[in-house]
Amino acid sequence: MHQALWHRTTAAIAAAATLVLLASSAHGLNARLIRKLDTDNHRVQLDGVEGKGEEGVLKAARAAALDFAGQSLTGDDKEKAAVARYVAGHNAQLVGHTANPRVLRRVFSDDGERISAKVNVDVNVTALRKALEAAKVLTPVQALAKKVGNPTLLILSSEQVGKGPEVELTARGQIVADRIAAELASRKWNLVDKAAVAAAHKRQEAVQSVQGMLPDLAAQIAGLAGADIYIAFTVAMASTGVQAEVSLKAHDTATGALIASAAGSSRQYIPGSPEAKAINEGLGKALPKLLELLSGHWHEVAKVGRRYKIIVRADFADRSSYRRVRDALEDLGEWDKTLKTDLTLAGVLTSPDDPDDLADDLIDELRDAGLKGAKFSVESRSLFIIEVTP
Amino acid sequence: MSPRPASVFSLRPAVATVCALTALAALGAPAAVVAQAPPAEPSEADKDALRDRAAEAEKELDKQVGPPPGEEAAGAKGSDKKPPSAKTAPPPAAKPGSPPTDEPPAAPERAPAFEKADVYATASERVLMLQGKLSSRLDVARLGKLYKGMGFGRFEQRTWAVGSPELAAWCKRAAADMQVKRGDIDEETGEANLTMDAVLERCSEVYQHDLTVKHGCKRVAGRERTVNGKKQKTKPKMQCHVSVTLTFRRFAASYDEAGNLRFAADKSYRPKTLKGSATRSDEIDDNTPPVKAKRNALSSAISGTSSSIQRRLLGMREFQNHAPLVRASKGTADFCLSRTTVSLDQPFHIVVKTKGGEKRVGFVKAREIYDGCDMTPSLEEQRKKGRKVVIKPLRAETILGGSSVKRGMTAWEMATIGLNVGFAYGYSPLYGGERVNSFGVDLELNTAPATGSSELHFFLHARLSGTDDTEDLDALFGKAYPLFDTSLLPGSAAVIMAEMGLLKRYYGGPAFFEWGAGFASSFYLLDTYEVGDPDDPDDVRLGIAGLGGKALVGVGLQLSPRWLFRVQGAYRFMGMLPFVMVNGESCEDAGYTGCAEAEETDREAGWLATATLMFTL
Repeated sequence: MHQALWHRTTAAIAAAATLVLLASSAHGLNARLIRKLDTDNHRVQLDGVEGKGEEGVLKAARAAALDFAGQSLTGDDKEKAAVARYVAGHNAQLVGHTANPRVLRRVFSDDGERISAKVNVDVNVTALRKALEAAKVLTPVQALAKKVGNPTLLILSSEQVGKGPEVELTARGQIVADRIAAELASRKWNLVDKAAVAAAHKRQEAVQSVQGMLPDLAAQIAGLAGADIYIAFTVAMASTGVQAEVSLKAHDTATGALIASAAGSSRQYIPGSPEAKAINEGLGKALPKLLELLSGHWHEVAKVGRRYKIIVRADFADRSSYRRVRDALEDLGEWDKTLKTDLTLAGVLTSPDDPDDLADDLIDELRDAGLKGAKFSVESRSLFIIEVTP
Repeated sequence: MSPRPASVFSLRPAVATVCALTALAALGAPAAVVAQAPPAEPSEADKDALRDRAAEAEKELDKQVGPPPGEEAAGAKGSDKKPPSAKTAPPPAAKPGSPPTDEPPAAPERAPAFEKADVYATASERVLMLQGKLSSRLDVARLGKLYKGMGFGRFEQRTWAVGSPELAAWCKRAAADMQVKRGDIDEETGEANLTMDAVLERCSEVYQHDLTVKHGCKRVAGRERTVNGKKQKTKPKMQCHVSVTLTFRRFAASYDEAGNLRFAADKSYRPKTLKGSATRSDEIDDNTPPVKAKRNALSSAISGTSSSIQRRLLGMREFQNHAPLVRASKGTADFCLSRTTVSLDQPFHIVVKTKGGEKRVGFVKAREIYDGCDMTPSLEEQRKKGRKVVIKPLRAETILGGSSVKRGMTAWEMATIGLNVGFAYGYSPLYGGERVNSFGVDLELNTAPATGSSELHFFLHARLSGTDDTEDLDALFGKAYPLFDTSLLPGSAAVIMAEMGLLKRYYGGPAFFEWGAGFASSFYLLDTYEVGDPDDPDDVRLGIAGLGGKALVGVGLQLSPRWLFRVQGAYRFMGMLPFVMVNGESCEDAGYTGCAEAEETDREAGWLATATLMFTL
């Protein structure tokens, strides 16, 4: 009993000491991801780390790196705060996920005791994420995905947008697409396959003239291919040396709205260096940020529900039929109308239901509202086009 | 004005002594230094390079060393410089139908002036020294000796032209080595990440030197001089004068728009010129023909000149080695410099960078030197060729600073030629058992770089003393030369003592213990007078010479990185031999009779004690 109390007390003291250490070392601290070393490891640079002596400053740097890397694993503010608290209190257990601290610059205090330094620290983010998930500080990726109905994503190069499926990705585009796919797959997220994209391209022409469809061709393809979110990427290379800037933008398929955006620039490698190296480096900087923002988005989605693009084609010259459809949609969730004409009603429905349930409910509600001839002409995870025949 | 580096060493010798020894050091520093740190034996590559230099000396005079200064200055290093110009890639045209928020990013801008690594946090690299203009009529061997003497062994010396493909290839290799040392490697392949910034940083430390050596030798006829009223003719001699002008320039690398590496004179670096000269001579006699005398004089003049240059070259901060401490404990400090640039016993200041500037906190000496902390591509190549490569940090012994020397602080090379010059006061035994005060000069040269034995010093001590009690000396002289009436001797004698040998020193923090042995000699001057024709008298000197050995032990204290104080006890033992010299020659050779070389000898032995304050040059 006494021993347990003693352990708890020492643990509390250690946590408090680490918090004090973090607080003191975090004064004016600037942390950033400088490179994604491989699938698991990120190199974090911390400027302004302070500590007593080299050991002290390295300890503070490791703690700050864990804090930064831990918080970047989630986009939810509450989770970020929880991660910060947990990391501060369990530094001793988590410090093994850091490696290779390297001081780039030091300034000593006049007495030579305290050091303010710029330090690079490698953090094994995969292991850190698992530790934080095990401690229930971080929602496990799969659980989060399940909460939001296992979202499906489409990776799209800007080279492909507005063109047919015959457009092959360039080597640069393929590298980025493959890397993003590998990263998303490692998180057990669903990806739209090539065949679905090809099919979507075929159907795109047919639906392009449908009123209420987003003018965004990428969103059209994504919606038709059954993606909840599409990630559009662009790679630009510098004219001198080998340097890549990768831009990633995640859009909500239903609304076309930009929900996350990140860009990463590689360092400038000497001429003759493999482009893939620079592209990977640029992507390695951008992708973690994008995933962090996406995670925040999904936390939001888990609370308010998914967004669906709904287009109902019917004879709305009669105002009562419009009201019936509108009421039916409002019964299913939060309805946000974007277009209403005599023949079309379009908008975005935010609903906690998953796509299958929503599809069933949608038809049922419309039929219950007296629109017996309602049937889907397009039914995907985020896009429903309903034709109502008299 | 930036503040002067502060020192935490509080032990300071008396001001008067400091002034006296500083003056002494100043006198001894230039060409007059009697010895120099033996430079490392040049490698075959160095020898080839020297041969090339000699052969192409004339060509080099007219050779352009690269683009005119300033032509590419925009890419010169330094934070106040503009970055190398480079166009940015035009952004791809917007795709029809692209979402408005999905505009492609602009191609990355060329990074602004590259961020140079903090010198206090990174280990220095070996400096590449290119050959610029060379004007010399010295032969290859002597030119090599001059280069060694000037301390060029610390540089990677090459004869490449600035802008040559060889230099570009070197840049790539050197940058790769640097990146490996900094841990900036591709995690998948293990190869160095060769960024343009890394190449620019490493390759903006390229130096080039111009060397002008002028030398001349002439025969100086023996001249008549009057000594004590007597005209004497000195021996003829060969006299040689060597003067050296050494100019350093630095080049900065940049990339042009096509991605080619270019070099231009670094405008932030004002060319530095070192000048030195020395004149030496050697007498011509039966054993030393003119050719040999000329050779000796020239060799000596080259040594004198190179020593004076070396000391100032070592003082150039841009050439000094430095590295952060990776470990510090129990009187040792480890850092990542290798044997290519550091020699045994090389002293380092331990400094820290504070907001107020650099501050010294300690002093260490390199004791165990390996090949650095990382297996670089260059070392890997050497290992494959069969060279034994040891990857281990250099271990230095902490002399000053003790527990204040900590990991993360920076070891910064202290400029020294390894020569200690000291003022000594002693209590010395004389023949007959009397002990007298003596004063003198101590010189010590650390032979560690040449012998591989740490703190093994060659010492040369000279003492001056005198006595009023010459009874025993007169008696010994009288026995050897009974024809002389010793009662006529003045009753006082000047004594000159000289010793040379080797001593080994062991440090324990700032304190040290030493022991050694060597040759000892004494010279007692009993009387001088003139005899013969009053118009052309002969100069007669009567005295006793002693030759023997000496064993010594001592303890001392390192007061500061350059000042040492030590107390030495020694036992001298010598055989004593009275002599009579006439006009600098033995009595018999001068044509006198009855003064044959003495057969009567005796021994002198006894303990002596000396206190010395030394300054490291």
